[in-house]
Amino acid sequence: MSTKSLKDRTNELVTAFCSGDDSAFSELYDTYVHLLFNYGSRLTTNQELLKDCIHDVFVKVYGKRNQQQAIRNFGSYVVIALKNRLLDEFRRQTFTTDNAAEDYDYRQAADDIERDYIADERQLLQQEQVVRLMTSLTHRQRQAVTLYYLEQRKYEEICSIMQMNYHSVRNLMHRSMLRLREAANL
Amino acid sequence: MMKKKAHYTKVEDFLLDDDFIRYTFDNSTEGVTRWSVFTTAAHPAHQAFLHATNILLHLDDCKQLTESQVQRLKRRIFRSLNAVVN
Repeated sequence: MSTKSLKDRTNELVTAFCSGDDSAFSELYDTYVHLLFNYGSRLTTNQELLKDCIHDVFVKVYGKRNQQQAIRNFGSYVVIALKNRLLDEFRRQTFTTDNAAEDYDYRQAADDIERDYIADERQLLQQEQVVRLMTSLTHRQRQAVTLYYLEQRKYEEICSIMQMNYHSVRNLMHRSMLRLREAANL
Repeated sequence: MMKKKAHYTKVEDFLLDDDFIRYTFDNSTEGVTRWSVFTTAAHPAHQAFLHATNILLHLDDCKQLTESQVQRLKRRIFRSLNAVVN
């Protein structure tokens, strides 16, 4: 089904559902359950948790049948509701110290998010450090380091690009590394 | 509300953003400027943007429930609704 026809059909179903047609609710479920499962699978590997959350989303939608305006944009509404429901579960697991939820293994997804967050922070710090260190170099040193380490060029190519002889490039790289080491220890 | 990252690089960055979800589903003109930069192939996050869009619209990388799982979950939802009504 194309995006436009999906949207049109969804609008018809939402209107019917809000008018009391339970079969429209059933069809909304049939239309969106796979999409929600596919989306949720990107956020957690725990299928049972995901099915629980999809269940909760549809129960919540049913409770909104008298508020058509609230579920007018049905697709985005159910996806955002599922995302929020999953994140609530991840947070709950993170801040729960007892074993009341022993039936479910929420740790995997929560750990994934925490691990990604730490990796992102570490990457950001490294980027900031690289920028800071590179500013300690002269223009020629920065150019040589960029060509050698970032662009992975050979010394012969760097000689040609910078129009310098081999020994001068090696000296330039050596002085650059000394400068970087010095800046890193500040 | 989640704290938003300054730079989006991964598929999940997009998938966790309410505005991106609304932009994809609702075709809303709100935020078009913000997201249209990712539609250019030269943008470093272009592929992640496209992948996230396709996941949301269920166009690729599809993970599906089996038909029996779909029906079991549906019955469970209706049982919950009946329990609330009764």
